[in-house]
This record gives sequence, C-alpha cells and structure tokens, in this order.
Amino acid sequence: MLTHEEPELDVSEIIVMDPDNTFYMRMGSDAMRGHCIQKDHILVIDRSLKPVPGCIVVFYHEGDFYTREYSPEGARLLLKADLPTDHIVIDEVERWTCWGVVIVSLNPVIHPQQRVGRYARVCAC
Amino acid sequence: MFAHVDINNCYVSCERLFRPELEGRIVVVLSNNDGCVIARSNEAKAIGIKMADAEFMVRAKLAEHNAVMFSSNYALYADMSARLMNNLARYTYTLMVYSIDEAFMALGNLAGINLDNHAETISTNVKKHTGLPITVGVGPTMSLAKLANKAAKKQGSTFLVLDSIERINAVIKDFPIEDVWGVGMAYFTKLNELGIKTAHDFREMNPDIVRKYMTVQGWRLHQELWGVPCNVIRDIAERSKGIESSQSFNTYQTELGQLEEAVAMHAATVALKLRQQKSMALNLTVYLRTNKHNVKHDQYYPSITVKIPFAANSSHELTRVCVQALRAIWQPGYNYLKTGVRATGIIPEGEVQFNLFNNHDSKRQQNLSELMDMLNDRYGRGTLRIAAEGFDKTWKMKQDYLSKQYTTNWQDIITTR
Repeated sequence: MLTHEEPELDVSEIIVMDPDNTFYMRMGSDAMRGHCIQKDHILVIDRSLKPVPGCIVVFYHEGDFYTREYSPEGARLLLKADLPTDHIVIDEVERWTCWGVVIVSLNPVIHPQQRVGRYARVCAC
Repeated sequence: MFAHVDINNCYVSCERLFRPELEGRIVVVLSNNDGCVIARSNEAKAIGIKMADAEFMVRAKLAEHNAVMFSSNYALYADMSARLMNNLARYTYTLMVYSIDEAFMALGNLAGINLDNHAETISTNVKKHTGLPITVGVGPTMSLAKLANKAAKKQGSTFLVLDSIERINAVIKDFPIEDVWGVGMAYFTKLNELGIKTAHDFREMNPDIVRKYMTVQGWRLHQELWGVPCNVIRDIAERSKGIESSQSFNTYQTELGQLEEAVAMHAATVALKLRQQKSMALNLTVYLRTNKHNVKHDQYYPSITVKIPFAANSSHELTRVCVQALRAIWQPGYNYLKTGVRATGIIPEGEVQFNLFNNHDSKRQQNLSELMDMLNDRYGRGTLRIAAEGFDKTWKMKQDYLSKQYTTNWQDIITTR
C-alpha cells in the first residue's frame, strides 16, 4: 500500500491565478469602503484580465494611482468611488490606460493587540 | 520559423511601468555606482545621449532637458524580465532566453497560421499583460528573425515578419551591415574594405569569398541571410552536450530529505563544473530512478526539466532550482536507486556580453574598459544575483536615483488613492 500524500493547501492557489502577470498595491484611502476595500488593504492586481463594467480597476491619472469601479459611459469613462466627490471622470478615453484589474482585496481581521511578532505581517506591509 | 523578441529600452520601460508620467519624457538608467548611461528612452537617444556616456559628462545636458535619471534597479529588472520570459513561453515549446531582455522562440511549422497576426498577438498581449513594450521579429532563421526585429523598430512597428523572399529583399536592401547580428568590429572593417555596406550587399557575395574572409561563422551568417538555418536554438544553447552529476545509492532511498541532500550535492557539483569551464546553464534536469531489475518493486522513472529565467552557474541558484524540481517529481512509496542532475542549454559566460558588444554602434571609440564595466554591470551574473538578494548586504555603491522594488519587496509596493 502506498501512503497517499497530497501537497498541502496553499492560499495563493485561490488568490493568484496568473502569477506572471500579478502585481500588488496598497489601498491608501477609504474612498472604496462601500466596495469592501478599506484603507491599507493589499490589492491583488491581475493585468491579464480585461476590465468589464462594474469591476474594480487600478488606473493612473494625473500623477496618482487610483482604485475605482470601472463604469464606461459612452464616450467618457467614469471611475466610481463610494461618494460622487471621489468619482473621477475621464473624457479623453484615449489618454487613459487601465493599469490592472483588482481581483482580491485582502481584509485582515486579526485584532490589533494580536499584531505582535510575525503576526504584525498578516495582510499588511 | 523563428521569432526574436526583446523589450524596447528594457530598463527604462521597467521604470516607466510604475511611473507612467515618465512616458514621453527623457529617461536614462545609470550603471552600478551611477557611473555611466546603460539604458535610454527614445527621447534620450533623440537628444544625443549615447550608451556608456559617463554620467558626469551628460549631467548638465540631462538637467537642461529636464530628464529623469535612475540608478540600476536590478531587483526590479530581473523580476520583470522573468515575467516576460514566462509569458513568452506560453507561445512556444522552445524558448531560448538570450539575455535579460531578449529571447528566441521556435515557432515551428505553423501551417495555416497568419504569421503577421500571430506576431501582432504576441506583441499586443505580452505588452498588455506585463506592461513592457516589446518588439517581435520573425524570420526563417535566427539571424533573419533578429534582423526583422531591428528593422521593425526602425519602422516604428512592434512586429515584422519576414516570411517571403520579397519581404526579406525589401528589408535587407538598406539594412546596414554593421547592424547584422554577429557582425563585429573585425568583420565590419573587413567588409567595409570590400565595399559591403548593407545586408543585401553581403548576401550577394560569393559564398567561397565569404568563407575565405570570414571563416565558417561568416559563411553561416551568409547562409542564414539566404534563409538557410544554420543556427538552431539547440546549437547556440548547447555548446556542450550537457553536464551531469549522478550517483547510484548503496541502499534504496525512500525519503525526500535524503534525496534532497543528494540532489543538492549534484547541483553544486554541476555548478562547479559550469564555473570551471566558464559557462552557464539555461535548463536543469533532475531525475529519479528505481531499480528496473527488481521486479518485486514498483517502478518509477520521473524526470523534470526546468528552464531558469537567467542562465546561471552559481551553486546557490542551481541548488535552489534542483531541490524544488525534485520536490515536484518525488513520490512516496518507491525505492529509489539513482538520482542525478543534468545541465543543458549551456552557453559561455561571456556570450551575452560579447553579443551586445557586437551589436553596439560602430562609432565605439570610447574607453574600452569603461564599456566592459558597463557590460558587466548590465549582464554580469554577480550583479544580478547580488541584486536579487538585496544590495545593502554586500555592496556599498552609489545609487542616488534608485527606484523602489515595486515587485519584490512588500514595503515598496505602490499605494493607490
């Protein structure tokens, strides 16, 4: 009888689909709280995915990277946040390039008091 | 058919991916110690910045043009290069990583496939997925594929396919002979004396004369320009058949730990042999064997070949790769009698450097040692490996304009708004 040993579960198997085209960024604001993305969440970004309306994208606009909801509206592109004041409207779609599609936002629920030693690293950097 | 793919202005493109505002601006990357220019954006080329220009010589000019300078960020470039190579590997069974920013692909017999579409697909998809702009040259030989790549860039295109004699003729007509792959300074001088100015002139030469003046190497190039493959990917990759280290055990081995030790030892032996003959390997094969003469035992002869993103000959790197490979093939429940490590795709340590040197523009009256330093900086294995392990541990060098390790250090990832 052979002992059957399977490789142990690795969480990246269900988070990173295309490692060669995956990048990570950090959410720096609470503009997307309503989309379940909080400040300091680590974002898993896959450049090989095509954006579809309603998905979360990272884009570069006038000197900053933004994480927003992708909402094309005819000739213009609306990048939605929770509040309209944080929306970004891009009229010249030509000049706009989607940097990548966010597929996961890592939400740590560990208690701050537990963040000691190596546990300080839980979904944080 | 072959494809030759490279990253346009590789290091500059890596920096721009994380600083998109630098698109359209003059950008240069400096060698180790911020000594001289080793990569330039097209805009930098346009204002006359040359490869290997000393930083202090061009500092004023760059400042005047509001240019952006970077110190070499090898951790970033090596990671981005590996991403590119892995993407390219999806389009071919045979990928030959030629240097940090270029590779050859065997396209095989793609009967019924429109090569223009195929080349465009590769260039568009890989650009989108990795964020790095690339150029794809396709031709019936490696020399023509490389020539197609260069011609594509001159035309401002992202791909060029030379799949007919008409297309080849149209391109080689004005293609400067000194830009042909493998034509170094010595051949260039000789050909110039003979009045050979273009790839077309060279191709029209009598093969016997080519052989007389340029030895068998020149003759091969001549053949390749006629579309007769002389370099096959294997030829360049495997100068020697491979280096192997293996052993049969005195007693059957079943445990992974013991096999790991054995494989690590073989990997280190292979690495040493590679270093002794001043070569590096692109592929590593790890295999296991049970005893086929023992009919009572279950038999298992697994073998795995791993392409390493950069040719390597360090014990550290080979051991790491081989042990990982072993873990992928090892299965419990078998009595292993033999294991071994074989390195193939062996290239001389100096090859990539030599080739960049050959391709360097003909007005290369610069200080030779400075240029060699630059090349070592660009491709030296020490540089790449040490960079991957972090600069601070071993090197104290000047890097005033170092960008972040966006892809290899959690502390350095970008924050979005």
